[in-house]
Formats: sequence, structure tokens, C-alpha cells
Amino acid sequence: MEDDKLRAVLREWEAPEPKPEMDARVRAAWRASHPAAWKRIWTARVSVPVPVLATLLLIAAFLLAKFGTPRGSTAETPSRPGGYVTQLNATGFLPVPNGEARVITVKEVQ
Amino acid sequence: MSQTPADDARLLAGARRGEEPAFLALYQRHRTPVFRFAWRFTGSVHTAEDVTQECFLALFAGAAFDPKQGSLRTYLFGIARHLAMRRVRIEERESEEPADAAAPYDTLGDLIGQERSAAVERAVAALPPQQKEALILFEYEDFSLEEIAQVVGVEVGAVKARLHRARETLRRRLAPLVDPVNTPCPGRRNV
Repeated sequence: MEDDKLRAVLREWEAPEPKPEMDARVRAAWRASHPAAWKRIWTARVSVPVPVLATLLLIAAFLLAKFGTPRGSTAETPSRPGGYVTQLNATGFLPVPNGEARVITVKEVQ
Repeated sequence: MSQTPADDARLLAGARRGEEPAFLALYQRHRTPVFRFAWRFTGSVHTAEDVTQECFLALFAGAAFDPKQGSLRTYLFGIARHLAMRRVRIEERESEEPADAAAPYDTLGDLIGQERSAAVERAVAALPPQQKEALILFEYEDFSLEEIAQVVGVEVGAVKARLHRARETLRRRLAPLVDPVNTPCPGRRNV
């Protein structure tokens, strides 16, 4: 048998076309391995060496201790069944210098 | 549509960056030949689909393609061939009959056509794997000898030898399809 005849016989064996289901499967697999950018944000992972992480935590703790303390303090007593609330505001409070207390009468105040 | 290696390289770079249109363009361009090759090599639609999927995912996952060493087509077929070989070794072709084996015959012509096609399939399937892949790539996918050597990873001379042996075997096995009258029948006595 000559090559051309053999080739003609071989060409009688035709392959099927790929199915659309395969295309859908490949596309889904590709999308799973290449998620959209906005989805990647939620699943992104960052690898940080422990010494670097420890340093960052120490710096954060230092900054919190230095700048995170509130200037004024307001104490609030828990509400009572009577329905009133007492607030003590110590802002601007100055203690009496050297403990030199002086008694004044009501008349002097008025 | 013009398909150049530069196009393929550009699309591949886009697909690896996550651009879906680039992925789709590259996939549509090469999926049918890869599927066809895998189907002819494994004889199973299901396995051929798996091989095609794995082949493209491996490519987009960052397999080391170098345009200087050959076209993307030969590179893809190299992956497909490796995957198909592995599948055949694992499954030993025992899982599935050919998809069209049970197809009904409408006419006598269909019957004859189907039988001839099945005979070719059986003859090719019976070839040793290395001869089979060389024959499929050369006869059905129009690869040159050099391209086949690149896909398979052997010298061109080895490809020629494999093709020659495959053709010799097929000439013997398929002789009744070409010239059934003059083909000697083993059971017929000469009077």
C-alpha cells in the first residue's frame, strides 16, 4: 500500500469535537485559580517574619501608651433605680497649694 | 486569523496576569488540536477532556515556556503528551469504550464507514505508544518531523524510525480496507 492510500484510510478515523461542557469546566478551573482582584483582597495572605511582627507590635504598644491615654477623665456612676445620674468632671481641677485650706463663710461667697 | 508565536507569547503573558480574554483566546486557539490528540492517544473522551484541562492549567500556572526553544503549540503538545502517557499507564485503557462505539447505524453506508473508522482506530491503538504518538502528530496534526522531535524529546532520526515502523505495521493491518479483493484471506484455499 502506498503512503497516499494509507493516509486516506487513516483520515477515515475522525475525532469528535470537544464538548461545551469541557470548555465550561476549564474556564471554571481557570477562574478558581485566577480570582478577580476584588476577591483576591479578601483571601490574600501576607507572610511576615516573627522578629518583624514582634517589632511592629512593640512599636504599636509604645505609640498606644504614649498617645493613647485620654487627657481628661470622667467618672460616671451607674444609674440608680431613682433615674438620676451623677457625673464628676475633674477637668481643670487644681488642688489647693501646700494644703493651705481657708474657711470662708456663706456671706463671703455671696 | 493570523496565529504567530508572538501572539501566543503575548496572550500567555496576559493569561498569567489573570486576564480572562487572553486566556480564552489562547484556549480557543489550541484546545481542539490538544483534545483531538489526547482522544486519539487515549481512546477515551473523558480522559482526553481531563488531559486537555490539566494541560492548560499547567500552562497558565507558570510552566516554564521559553519562546526561544520552540512554539507554544509544540510546548503544549509536549505537556499533553506527557499527561496522556501518564494516564494511559495508570488506566491501562480499561475504563471506557470509544464514545461512538454504540452509535446506531442509519444506513449500510454508515455501517461500513463506522466499521472502517473503528478498524483504523483499533489498528492505531494497537501500536506501541512511541510509534502511536509520532503517527498521530504527523498524520493527524500535521506536525513536521522536527516539531515531533521537539515534542517527544528525541532526535529527528528516531522520529523517522518510529514513523516508518508504525506505517509498516498499519500497511499490513489495514490492507483489507484499501484493496479487499486482492488481500489474501487466511482461510481461503488456493484452487
